[in-house]
Amino acid sequence: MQKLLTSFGVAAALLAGTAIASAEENPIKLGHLSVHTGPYGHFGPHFDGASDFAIGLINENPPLGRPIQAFHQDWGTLGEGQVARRLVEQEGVDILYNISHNYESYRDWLLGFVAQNGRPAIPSVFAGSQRVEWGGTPEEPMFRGSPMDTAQAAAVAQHAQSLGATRVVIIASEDSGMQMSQDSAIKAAKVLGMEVLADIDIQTEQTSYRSEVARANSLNPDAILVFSQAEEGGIIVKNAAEMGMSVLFLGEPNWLAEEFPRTATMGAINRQKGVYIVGYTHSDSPAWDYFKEKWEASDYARLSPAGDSYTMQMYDMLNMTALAIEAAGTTDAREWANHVREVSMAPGKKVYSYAEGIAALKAGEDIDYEGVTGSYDYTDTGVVSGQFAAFSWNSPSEWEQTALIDGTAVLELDAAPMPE
Amino acid sequence: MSVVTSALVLGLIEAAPLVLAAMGFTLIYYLNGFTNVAFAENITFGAFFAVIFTSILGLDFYLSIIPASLLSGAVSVLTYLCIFRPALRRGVGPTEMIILSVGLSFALRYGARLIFGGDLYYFDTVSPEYYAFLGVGVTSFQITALVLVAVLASLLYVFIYRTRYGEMMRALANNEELALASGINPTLVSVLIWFIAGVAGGLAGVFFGVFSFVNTLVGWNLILIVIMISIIGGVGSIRGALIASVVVGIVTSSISLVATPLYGEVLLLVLFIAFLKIRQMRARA
Amino acid sequence: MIDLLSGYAIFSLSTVLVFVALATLLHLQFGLAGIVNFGVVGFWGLGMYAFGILLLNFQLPYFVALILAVAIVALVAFVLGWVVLDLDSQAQLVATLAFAAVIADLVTTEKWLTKGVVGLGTVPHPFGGAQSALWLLLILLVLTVGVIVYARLLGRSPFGRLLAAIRDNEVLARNLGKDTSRAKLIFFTLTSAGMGLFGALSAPVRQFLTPDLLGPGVTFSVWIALIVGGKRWPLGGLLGVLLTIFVFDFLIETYLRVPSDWAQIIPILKLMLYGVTLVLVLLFRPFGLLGDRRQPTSHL
Repeated sequence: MQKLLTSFGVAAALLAGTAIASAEENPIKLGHLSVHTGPYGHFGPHFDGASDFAIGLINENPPLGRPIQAFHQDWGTLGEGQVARRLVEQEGVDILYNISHNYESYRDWLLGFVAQNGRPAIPSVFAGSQRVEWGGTPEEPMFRGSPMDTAQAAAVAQHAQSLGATRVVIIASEDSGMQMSQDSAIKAAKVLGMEVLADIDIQTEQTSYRSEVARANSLNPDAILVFSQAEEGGIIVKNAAEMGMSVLFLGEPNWLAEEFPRTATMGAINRQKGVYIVGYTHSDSPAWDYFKEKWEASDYARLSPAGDSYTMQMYDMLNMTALAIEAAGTTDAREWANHVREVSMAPGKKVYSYAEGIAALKAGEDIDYEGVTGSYDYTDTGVVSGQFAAFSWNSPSEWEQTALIDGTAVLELDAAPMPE
Repeated sequence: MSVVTSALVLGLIEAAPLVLAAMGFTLIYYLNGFTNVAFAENITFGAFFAVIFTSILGLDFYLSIIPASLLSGAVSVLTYLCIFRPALRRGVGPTEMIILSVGLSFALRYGARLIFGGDLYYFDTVSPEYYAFLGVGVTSFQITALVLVAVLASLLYVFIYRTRYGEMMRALANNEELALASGINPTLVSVLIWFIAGVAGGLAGVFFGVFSFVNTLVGWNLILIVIMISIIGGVGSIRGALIASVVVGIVTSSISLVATPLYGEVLLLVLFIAFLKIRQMRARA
Repeated sequence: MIDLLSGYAIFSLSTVLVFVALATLLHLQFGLAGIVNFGVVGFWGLGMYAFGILLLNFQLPYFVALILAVAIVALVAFVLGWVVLDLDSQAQLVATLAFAAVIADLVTTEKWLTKGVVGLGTVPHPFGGAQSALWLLLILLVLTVGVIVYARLLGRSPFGRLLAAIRDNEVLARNLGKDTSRAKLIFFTLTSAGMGLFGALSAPVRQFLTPDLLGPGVTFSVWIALIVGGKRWPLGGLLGVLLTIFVFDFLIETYLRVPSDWAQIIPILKLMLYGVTLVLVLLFRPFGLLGDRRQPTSHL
């Protein structure tokens, strides 16, 4: 009798347990194309952490009642294509997050898979390098979490001109994204009427760029625009100081990593006429206040300052993705794609955080998500708006914003054709 | 300031740590007859040792050079005693010895990667001072490197050609049986040479590191050019290593001053292949 | 379980097959003929890019581009062979290594032709349709098996014996009246062109070509596989690739479930293990893990 009651009790408990479990057992799977090895390997922990931070907040009130489960996978060794296939086919992810430079190599297969299986959704913070005509549709449910890389490069040229430069040299490392930025900056500079004295390609992973810097200097530029990783930029500025140069340098957002001032040394930076970094800044809105407080109180705060553009972009991107899933009522990527612009743009109640947004959606309201990175409005092909600004380093651990850059002018510059 | 002077001075400055590395590398090549690719890790470890002593233990940079280079020498001796000497004793041929050294290089490099990660390390506690020389700017670190190269090169030259141990090494390298028969202790001489090579490599690493930054790839990125310089300079020739390093430095700088720097590397590689062929054709004749 | 017909499996297996073919060709060059070729990635990469360029830039028909690409690699191999085959082994090693570096550098600088680091694409599969990737895999399978069979037959043939004789004692072979230089040159050209062929076929596997594919990593992976599997044995390449690349880049990647912080350690651990294995094998089992499996007829 005792035994029967016990086993009955156990069975009941198990049944109850499984009933509760099944709600949690159907998570929304997110496959993260992260990078822990290879030349970008040191970004991995930062990207994973920033994403986990956003997902943690989302899971407090997840879309469709299904928490998001992240699979962070390194593609640095095996290649993006192979890892993407594994995540989509083996893990069965609903969301393939952060496609990057090698998207083109598996795009045909991926879009074929989406057409057949209705998944995955393809939000990415790094798709600013992919062709502008790709994305934003149910056939290609790829949405970017940042403006186009070309626009960002145009912003660098724009700022150079606003600082008074008329003759520029443009240096870029042998890296896909940097080379494309270089082309865009050359075009923007010419449209603005600046003289491009030379474009110099440097190799990555060198310990000295003195010759290249010497060559740039011999042309007497007003400003040297550089598209490179932080450590390469640091060596360049350091070499410039060694040579007794004092020039205006403009770099891109990678220079906001602490590897830049630590490699260059503040002494070398301060010897220059100016070292400015053109990147993205946050909006001045309740979105920023909320986000900043949450980030700095979290376990992830040590990974980056709150104003780090990758951190902010990932936060906004994941919020938008989750909100659009809720609005679509399904994780089917094709349906999801139809609701992205609905949740991120007017008309709708302005919401400044995921928590606000999901509450409003569940109450049946239409929303307009305003992000930390800007008003978060999308074009027809999945390009989001952003805010450009210039920054400079005060010390090896602190940078500050020095100026806002006119976003409309930048977009016009980006869209302009190459002058004759 | 003409392009020529720039190229010359730049070439010299860039060559300094390279000369240190080449001198160490060529000693091993001369003594044991094979290309030790794991020498790359000698360079890398030297840099890391110096970082540990300066940034973590708080030692003054110039002082930290001493224990860093001594430790590098010790590591070099360890690789010799534990891996290379047993291999030579088992009759592993020169080609397989190179492959063996590649294996050791991978093992050490990725082992270090597990410990130190992919992060960049710096000599944060020191800042260079800036000077000008012949219209070209130099820093205190670069001057130190140049001075050290001059000193070490002279010391090595004297050691190899004017001392008993140097004589013993040359005897051992040229004709092992005869050397042994004359009562030369091969272990003592070999350990000494590997130690010196390790010190030179470690010092090279320290200076590459202070010129830019330190990570587990410092040595590996440079090993091909070190190999090329040693072969062109002549195996075992200190003077050759010096001249070849300077020439390579000047060629690279000259090309970078006017065209895409990668073309400089391509030119060097092609010239290198041509050099090997010509050397071989001369030997046949 | 893994769906063997999934895009992931087909992609991974195609890559493994290419490595098997490269390792077997290297067995022929080094294990049989004693040529130290550290420029494997140079021939492979040249074939890959030549095919991509001829197909995409010049719009040549698929198989015309393929054959022409292989011909280009053969020509380059012939010239390089003429330069390096007479050198001693160490010089051969660094010369071929330098050659591969030149190829990688030129692919990066000549952007007008190769699109440089931005990448060249998209290279289509040979036959269209839903199973296009599978067809490619089957072609690779047939060709790889062909290479292994060829290696086996060659080892027992008179030409194979000649090559082995050249490997063991070239001076003696020459004194016996054999034209050793010509034999080596033709053989080197042929096998390197083979590497180029598999390079060309790797273009549709990857579909998007970038210069970072041409780093020395491929060469080292192939060498490690061959040494571990046994350089003298026609199946040495196959065994070596199965034990290294197949285990790590396919089996472990697919089946091993590790938390993300540990997942990033695996590729580093793998490369460290490769190095340790290489050292141990060369010290204790120089003929490969299975010991001395020399063909009886290659003695001289």
